[in-house]
Amino acid sequence: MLGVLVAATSLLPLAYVVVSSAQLPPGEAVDFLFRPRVGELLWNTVRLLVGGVALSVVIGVACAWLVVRTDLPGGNLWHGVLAAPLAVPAFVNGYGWVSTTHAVQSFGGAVLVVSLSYYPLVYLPTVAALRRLDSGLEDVAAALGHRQLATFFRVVLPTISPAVLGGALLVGLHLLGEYGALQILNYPTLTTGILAVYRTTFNGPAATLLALVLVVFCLLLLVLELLARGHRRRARVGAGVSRTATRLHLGSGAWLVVAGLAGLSVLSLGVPLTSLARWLLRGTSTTFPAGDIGAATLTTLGLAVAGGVLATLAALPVAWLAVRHRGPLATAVERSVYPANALPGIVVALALVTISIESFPAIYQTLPLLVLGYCILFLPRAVVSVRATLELAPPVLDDVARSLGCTGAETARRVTLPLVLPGLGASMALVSLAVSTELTATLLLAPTGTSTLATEFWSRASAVEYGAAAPYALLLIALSVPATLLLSRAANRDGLRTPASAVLESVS
Amino acid sequence: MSGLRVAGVSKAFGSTRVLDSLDLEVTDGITAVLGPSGCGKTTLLRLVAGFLDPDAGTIAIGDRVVAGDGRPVPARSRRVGYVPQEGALFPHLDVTSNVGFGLPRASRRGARVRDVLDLVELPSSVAERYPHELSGGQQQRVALARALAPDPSLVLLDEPFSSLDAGLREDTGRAVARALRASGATAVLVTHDQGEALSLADRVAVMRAGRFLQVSAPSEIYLRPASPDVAGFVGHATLLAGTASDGTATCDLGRVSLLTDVAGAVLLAIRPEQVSVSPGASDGILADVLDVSYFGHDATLRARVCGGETVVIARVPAGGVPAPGSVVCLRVSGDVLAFPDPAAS
Repeated sequence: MLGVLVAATSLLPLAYVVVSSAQLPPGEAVDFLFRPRVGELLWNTVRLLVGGVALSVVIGVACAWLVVRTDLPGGNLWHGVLAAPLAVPAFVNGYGWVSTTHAVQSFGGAVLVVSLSYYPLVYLPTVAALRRLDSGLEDVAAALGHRQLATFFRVVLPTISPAVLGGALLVGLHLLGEYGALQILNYPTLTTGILAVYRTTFNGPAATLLALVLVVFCLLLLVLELLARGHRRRARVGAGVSRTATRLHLGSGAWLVVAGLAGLSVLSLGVPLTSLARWLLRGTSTTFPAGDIGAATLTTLGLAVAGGVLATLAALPVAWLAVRHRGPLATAVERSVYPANALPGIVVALALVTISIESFPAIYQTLPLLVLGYCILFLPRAVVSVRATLELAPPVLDDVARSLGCTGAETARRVTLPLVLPGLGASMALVSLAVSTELTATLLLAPTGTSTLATEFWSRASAVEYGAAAPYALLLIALSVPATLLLSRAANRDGLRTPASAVLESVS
Repeated sequence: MSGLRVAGVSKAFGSTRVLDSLDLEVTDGITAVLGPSGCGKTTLLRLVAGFLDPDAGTIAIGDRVVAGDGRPVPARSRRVGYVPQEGALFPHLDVTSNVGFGLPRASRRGARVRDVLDLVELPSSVAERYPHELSGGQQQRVALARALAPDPSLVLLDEPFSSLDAGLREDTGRAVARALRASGATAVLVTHDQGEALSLADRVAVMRAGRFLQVSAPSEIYLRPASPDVAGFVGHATLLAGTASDGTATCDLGRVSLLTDVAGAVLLAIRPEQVSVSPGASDGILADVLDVSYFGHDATLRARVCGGETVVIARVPAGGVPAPGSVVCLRVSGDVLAFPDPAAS
């Protein structure tokens, strides 16, 4: 029952967009959608999508292969460096670049900056898939007379392609929903367009129509990914297999590869971090608003914890149904949570704004509505990690505990809770960290006067007060580091399933 | 008194009838419930343990009726030890805490834990280890120790050795049987492995499609199966149609002497070791060797009687194994089991 309620809530934004678009007079809608301005936004979005996804996939797969399957000098150190850009929120990265050179305010610049921010979303699942891959497959291919390169394209790539596709889908969805980085790069897309329209007409039909187009794009991406994946089966090897593959000897080319990777990390980490350091020194030499920063940090932490706890609690009944009561209803409930994963923050926020104004004016512009928004946005993440956690406590353990004389409550206290609490904590942390760096939905849903690190950073950065924005950027990066560490460790480990590795697997 | 009495128990899941008015009485020792997967043996175990309630019939453990008479007794109050497949040790607890789980709080780390670990022949050095640090066989023994610790009157084991590899399976099986006998508990062991059932149990209950075909001592099951089904399942006997009179029968393998006194149309159950194979002899039935499985200590072969469809399984000593494709001479030695042919009546 609870599960059904959670599922219905998370479907609310999607339902809103479809229903309210359907209520518009068709002629008006068509007129609006065929304006040249909308055409430009569409074209910009499509080419950014193609360019950004392609570049992220090339960087992500190449790096993953180099780290896992070659004798790269520096080895695992590179894994940390290559996953690190995940800790720099895209809008902070955009700020770092723009405050260094205005040359990036172009199509090419936008593709470069967003790809540098989002390629780890391809890199991490690919590393995980390559580690899981049974090297026996490659040995067989070699025994059948294939060269290393031919083996990679005919055996390795097809086997890891679900992970790569999943990562590419994630990059695409992030690009569609990205607001901060693209706004600061002055590259208008559907999402920045929606916010611009919203700012001028406040909640007019135009914003809703653009949101509908955005949702259609997201669903198209999902379908494309499903079609590309086709009926290909995921190669899963037994948990016991831990054969290490022979790594390719790079030889004299090693230094060329190292130089390439070093160049990549200069672009993805060096530029934003140096620029940040420069502005930090210059900005704080004048004033350092410790009070403002402290207040924003407290608000952010409060919201993050509230969002993390609520999303994890909401995920519990859904995951419990999926693990313990498998059946058509449980599957339907679990599946209905996932479309929210594809909905950009802006659509969820827009839906909540309108629904609250029209039906529940009392909660409009309140913190509970903001937390509800976070909860809907990050519920899929919470569900996959809570589900992986609950699978650590199979029903047979309950049976054994009962046969040894435990009541239901005792079983929960002595068996179930000790097994799932660490995982629930990790899931809470993952959601909290995501909440703490969320910008788009926060901008729309936060009550006037509420300042979080992301909104404070944003108001300064978009007023070109780069120095004043720097301390906030630094704190945002600091908040993103733990989640990045969790995910990069999960990708690099074979064996034990953890909530973080479940989040990674849900991608592939 | 200890023991288990199951009377007229039926259980259905939806429209699938899993157990069909089942009766079983176990007084002491180890009883194996032997049957192919899906025959309902695990459901029977879960009914006895109290994880499921029967649709009809009664279950009594010792003198106490636990199901079928008023409110069923909950699993936690039945004092039944349960050893599931793959052990299912609590992964967050070490061996001592696992074994002491069902004991009163005061004695959870006391002498009783050491005693039952001794009973299952585990060294005290494993007491501090966690389940993932144990081998499969050790995990199984700890699971048994955990079930035995509260001194249950009945222990249920659900395919406890199916996840172990062949060598370990035999050793662990023997150790578990020794521990069960030493503890004096009555045990019901569910398995699909006839070798396991025949070698470990005092009594074997052969189950098929929710019913017991025969409940007897292992040697009785093997030597005097109650029906052709049991003979075919236990011991891989070849079933041949024949006509019997005066203590002998004729079939595709010639004239054989019978163990039982029947007449008319019969089904003969001929065991692989009753068929002797001689290459090139002239006294017997000629057959083509189809294939051979060589085991080292001996070999089994499948041969088709020349000019017919009948395929016979025979066991031959390791020394004289004929090649596939060769023609051999088959003879049946010893007395053969015969059942009235159900198809003929």
